[in-house]
Amino acid sequence: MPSLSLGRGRTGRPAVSLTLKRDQGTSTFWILSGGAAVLLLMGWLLPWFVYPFSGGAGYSPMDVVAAAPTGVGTILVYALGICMLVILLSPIAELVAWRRKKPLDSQWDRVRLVVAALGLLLTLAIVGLYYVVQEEPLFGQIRPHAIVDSAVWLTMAAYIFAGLAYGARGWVIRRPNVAFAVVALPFAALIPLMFHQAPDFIFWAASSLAIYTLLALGLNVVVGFAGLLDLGYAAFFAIGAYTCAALASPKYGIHLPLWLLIFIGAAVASMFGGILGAPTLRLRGDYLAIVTLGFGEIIPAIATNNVFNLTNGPDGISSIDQPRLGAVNFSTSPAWYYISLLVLVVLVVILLRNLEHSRVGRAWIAIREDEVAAAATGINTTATKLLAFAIGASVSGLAGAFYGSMVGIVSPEAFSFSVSVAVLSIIVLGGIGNITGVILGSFVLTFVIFWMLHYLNEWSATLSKTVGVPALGNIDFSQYTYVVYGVALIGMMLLRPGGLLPSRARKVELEHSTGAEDESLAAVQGRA
Amino acid sequence: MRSPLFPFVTRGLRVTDDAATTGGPGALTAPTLVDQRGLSPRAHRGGASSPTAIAVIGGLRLANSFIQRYFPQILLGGILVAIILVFREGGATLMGQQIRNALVVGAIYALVAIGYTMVYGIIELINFAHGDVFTLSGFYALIIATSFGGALNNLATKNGGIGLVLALVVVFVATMIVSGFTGMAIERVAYRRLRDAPRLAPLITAIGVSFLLEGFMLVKFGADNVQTKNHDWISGSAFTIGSVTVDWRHIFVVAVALVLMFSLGAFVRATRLGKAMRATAQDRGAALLCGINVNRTISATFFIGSALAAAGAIVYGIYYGSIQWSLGYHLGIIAFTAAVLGGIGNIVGAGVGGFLIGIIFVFGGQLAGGQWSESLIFAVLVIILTFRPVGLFGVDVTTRA
Amino acid sequence: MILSKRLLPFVGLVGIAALSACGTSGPTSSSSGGSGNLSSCQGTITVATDLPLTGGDATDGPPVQQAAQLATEQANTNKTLGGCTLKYVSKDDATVAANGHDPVQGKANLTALASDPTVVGVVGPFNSGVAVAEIPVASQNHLALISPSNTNPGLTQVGTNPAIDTNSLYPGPHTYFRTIATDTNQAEILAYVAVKELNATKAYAIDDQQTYGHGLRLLFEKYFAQEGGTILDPGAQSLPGTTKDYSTQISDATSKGAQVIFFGGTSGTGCGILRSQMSASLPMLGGDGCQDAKFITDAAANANGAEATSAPDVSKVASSQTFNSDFKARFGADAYANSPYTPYGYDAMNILIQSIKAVLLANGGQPPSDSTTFRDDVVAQLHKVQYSGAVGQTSFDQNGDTTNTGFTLYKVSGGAWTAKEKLIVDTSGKVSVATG
Repeated sequence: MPSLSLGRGRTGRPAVSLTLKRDQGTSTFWILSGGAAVLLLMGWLLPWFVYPFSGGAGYSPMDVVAAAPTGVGTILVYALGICMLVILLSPIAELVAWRRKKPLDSQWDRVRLVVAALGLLLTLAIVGLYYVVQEEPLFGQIRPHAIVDSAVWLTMAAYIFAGLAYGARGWVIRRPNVAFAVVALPFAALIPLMFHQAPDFIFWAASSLAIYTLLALGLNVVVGFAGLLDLGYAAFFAIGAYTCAALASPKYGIHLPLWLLIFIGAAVASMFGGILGAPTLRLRGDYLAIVTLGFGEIIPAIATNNVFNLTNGPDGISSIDQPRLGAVNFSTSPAWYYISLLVLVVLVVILLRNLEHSRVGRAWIAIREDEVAAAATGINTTATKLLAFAIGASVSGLAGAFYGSMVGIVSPEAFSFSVSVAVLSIIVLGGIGNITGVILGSFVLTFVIFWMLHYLNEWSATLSKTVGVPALGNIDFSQYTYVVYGVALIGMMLLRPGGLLPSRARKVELEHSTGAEDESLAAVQGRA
Repeated sequence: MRSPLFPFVTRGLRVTDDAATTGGPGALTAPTLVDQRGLSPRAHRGGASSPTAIAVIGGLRLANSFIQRYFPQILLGGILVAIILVFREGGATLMGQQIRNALVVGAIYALVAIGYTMVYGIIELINFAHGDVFTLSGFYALIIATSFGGALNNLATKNGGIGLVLALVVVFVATMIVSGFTGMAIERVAYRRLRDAPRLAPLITAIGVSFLLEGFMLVKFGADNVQTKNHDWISGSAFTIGSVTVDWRHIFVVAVALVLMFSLGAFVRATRLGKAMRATAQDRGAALLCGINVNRTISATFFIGSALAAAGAIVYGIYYGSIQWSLGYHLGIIAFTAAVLGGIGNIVGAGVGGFLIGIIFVFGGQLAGGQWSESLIFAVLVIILTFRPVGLFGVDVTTRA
Repeated sequence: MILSKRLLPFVGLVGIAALSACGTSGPTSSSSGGSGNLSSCQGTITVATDLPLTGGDATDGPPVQQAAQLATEQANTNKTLGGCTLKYVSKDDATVAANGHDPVQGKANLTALASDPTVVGVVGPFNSGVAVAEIPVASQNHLALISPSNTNPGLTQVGTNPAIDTNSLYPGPHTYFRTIATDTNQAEILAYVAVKELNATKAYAIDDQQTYGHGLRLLFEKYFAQEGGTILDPGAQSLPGTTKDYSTQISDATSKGAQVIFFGGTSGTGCGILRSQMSASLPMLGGDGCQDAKFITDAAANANGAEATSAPDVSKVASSQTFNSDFKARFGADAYANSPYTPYGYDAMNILIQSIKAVLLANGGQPPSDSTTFRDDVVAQLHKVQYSGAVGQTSFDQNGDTTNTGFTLYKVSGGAWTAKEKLIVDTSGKVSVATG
């Protein structure tokens, strides 16, 4: 395997790296433009999204179709509809152009920027008029409470996404990670505001999206940076969660604050990471994977069997303290969980990014690429690998502590192999070794697979009522969750083995070094 | 112990202390090099200047090399002690019954383990879907046994020995063929394109295939246990030793496993395809240069592995009388442990490993309580891999893992 | 063309705003007035279920959900709430990630339900683990939570389960009820049956490592020892619910001279499989999780002779037969086939609806204007309820536990469960055979 300059060389990057960066930039562009279209669609379909959660009478889009638009403000609505269509169709046009290898003229980008800006303005204008004037004839027959601010937020976010994607395409392609952060951070921060009417969505965002993002970031250190395959990552998650549960519940009568516990959880988990890692890290590749898999099965078994009466067996430890921050009691509003987890995710991302580009990070990559060469250049391979394991475990322990306090009960069944698989799937989907990719992957997997599949039944029932096709409501989508999950994993790997946003170094490997001919040639020369 | 009867991979029988201390990537690694980066460098480099540290590290090295060298003896000794303990606990009856139970459980693990070991041996992929291919085969067998308007069932139960044998042959052959093609199809669709991709990619598709198969079975056959309807094909007790009754079913399970294992061993050793498999496992590139159709060979490996899993599933169905969609995951992981125990890539090793795991499972469950059976298996797995990744009949894994 | 003319405003309008009066069309009380008549009742009252419907729990949960849904449909058909609409929402607390019930999802579901002011009561959850996560949310929001299947005594009775700190589950008022008796009652009865009826002095206990099975088994061991029996290998042989081979345990049990094998668990976690592998001449005893059709299928030829306690046999009671025939007519399957908890779900929902009706009547035929008041009234009403339904007479004690603590002992004979006798426990824990 040719040695690559993976660190940030002072003398300029190799040419190949530049093209790859552009490639990732293009991916980010696609995510932005596609994301804008999806968000617009979501805003449009929101009644179907909201209906099952509201519990109250939902609103059917068919009502709007049936009601004739009569008001003066309808002109604005028409204009907005045109903006929406343009943004919705843009990714498709891009795709067609890309397929035909005739890139769209750059003036189209300008047009779409204007459209996006117009859309944003119109949205604001219509909502403003609606709230301020509230005049019946303005919009025709809009029922009271017809405008849901979640949909407004989504629509506005979509226009901002589109504006950035088309208005600053060059910048997005040059600085993909920055562009991603600029878009993702405010969006993530505003989620509690956008979906305040659906507390279970916010709860999901905290308990599933944020926790899995943390887990994936931690596993990414082990698998992505250091190249050590860990299939029992849930074990460290469990250790963090049980630590938190034991120290903040009536179990031992100890009630430490969560803000202390996350550090204790992280420390305990990283200690276990070290204990497990020390004897096993000499193993490579699949063998290490199997050892960690074994460890991942043993930890829940120990918890189930209530060794030394530490874990309460299958019942688990319950009544875990709800954290407080000053006067705010988290148990009353899940948004606080989400916000504090978001802060934590940002901190961990900053930490890991710095680590990736530090001496240690370069050592990890060196080990991943060629352990013998790394050892020969004076890297203490065992210590470096152990460090990766411990750091990965500590992030997981951190997530575990938060999980425990959020759910209020920690029981062994929450840490099964499927958790390890889900986390691994996230980083593989997103792009192994690429922090941005991992964040995107956790969003895609937890949102599409865990959230959408979960509610598909309810949506289709609503849809069937709306459209009047009873057959739709009778399909039990939940039966197919496994099938969808499986097909998604297979399809993703076959179409894009590097993930959605492949890491630069990995991408080089994929494209340049592992052709069958190369390998067989190497085999003849080196081994046979 | 060092020379397997039918070594799947003929190269590298140099099982030395060094071989276990793996760490080198592929071709570059020579055993001496590995040892340099094993436990010793810390003594040289890691600031271990104090005598205690050196003593501790020396002790660790000694223990490590001791376990590596005498691993089979330690394992067999442990098993012997367990058997004696069970004898003391419940006398010859209990011991005999548990040995019988262990052999039956072990035979099924052995049949599944062979599929794992073959696939890993040839393309170095932990085929997570293999356990689910096993379950799916069980359903195939169910469909085949109940189709033709119950003709097979009548044949098996109403015509004495000959009818039973005929019915079994039909079920076995048909199921194994269908299941073999399923395995080939999985390889063709999900693994072949990723053969040269980074390791993780095929592993994830394997997990994906596993989910897909489980989901399919859940939708198609429901979440409950499904009766296989051929439980009563074989019944009655064959003989009694002391007060241990051995049923025909027990004999059937173990006999099928042994016959298939040995015929597969002979097949791999003697036939052209078997030679091609061994060559491909040893060095795919070189095999290609020698004119071996690597793709076809790998397909054949999947066919055979899946067919053996199918045999295991039929045997399972007849023995237990029911199957369930989610069966494959745990059974698969335990069978994989068996493959690792026997030395992955080694067919006979996988067979023996299966039986040993059966014994550990049953006797561990008896002595420590059933709640620890699985943990015990995983603990064995961790210990083997830590101290002796080559397993019992190891091949040199320095270039393999 | 209709499409082009109407689609555009549709796209735009819904795009900006998509509507949905999220939780705002609550019960609008228009003046009081009306006497005991509900026909003038206005508004929408929402009841919900929170049960595991998918993944590993896809067998037990759905029939219970269907039974609860049936109850709401019947209430709407019969205009039980008069002019008010009864809206029914079904929540699934199983997740893809957990492949089955997931306390996280349960908590999220209940948070969402509690935030909707029209929701006044929830039937669920199915699993005690989920209940532990949900009860505090329900309590804080004054929302009635009626479980059809939580049998863990620690959820309501202080000090009965060392793993659960009961008091801390209720930060607000006590709003949790259950229509099924606790494991304490059942274990007392099971121990009585084992000692007095099966004449066993040595019992061998196996469980499924689940909250329900393991808990029941520990309680059985406790009461069996109190009755003077000996447990062989106490606390051990707790096998995962996925176990398919019990030969080790069966050989162990027979060699130790067990006179009965007790299984703590459900048919889904190995009850029938265990029976199919053991000698049919050895008695086997299980809890209500075993007493279903799945057990008979799984145990196949060995099913006969197995015994289990379960809900009082009401199959000859008209209300139970009506329920089953209604269920069959609506969902095309036998109500009792897949889950023994189905009638409990039906009764739980009916009790909730009856309580709502009582609140409406007491409030002059209209829902109380304030949702918290409404919820509090429903909870208060539940404490007073006397309901005769598919599982017999149900009322709740101050802990929210059902007073219907009797169990019927069933035995498989001729390939079907047949009721042997009804057993009741008095408050001092003494078991006796009920007459009549």
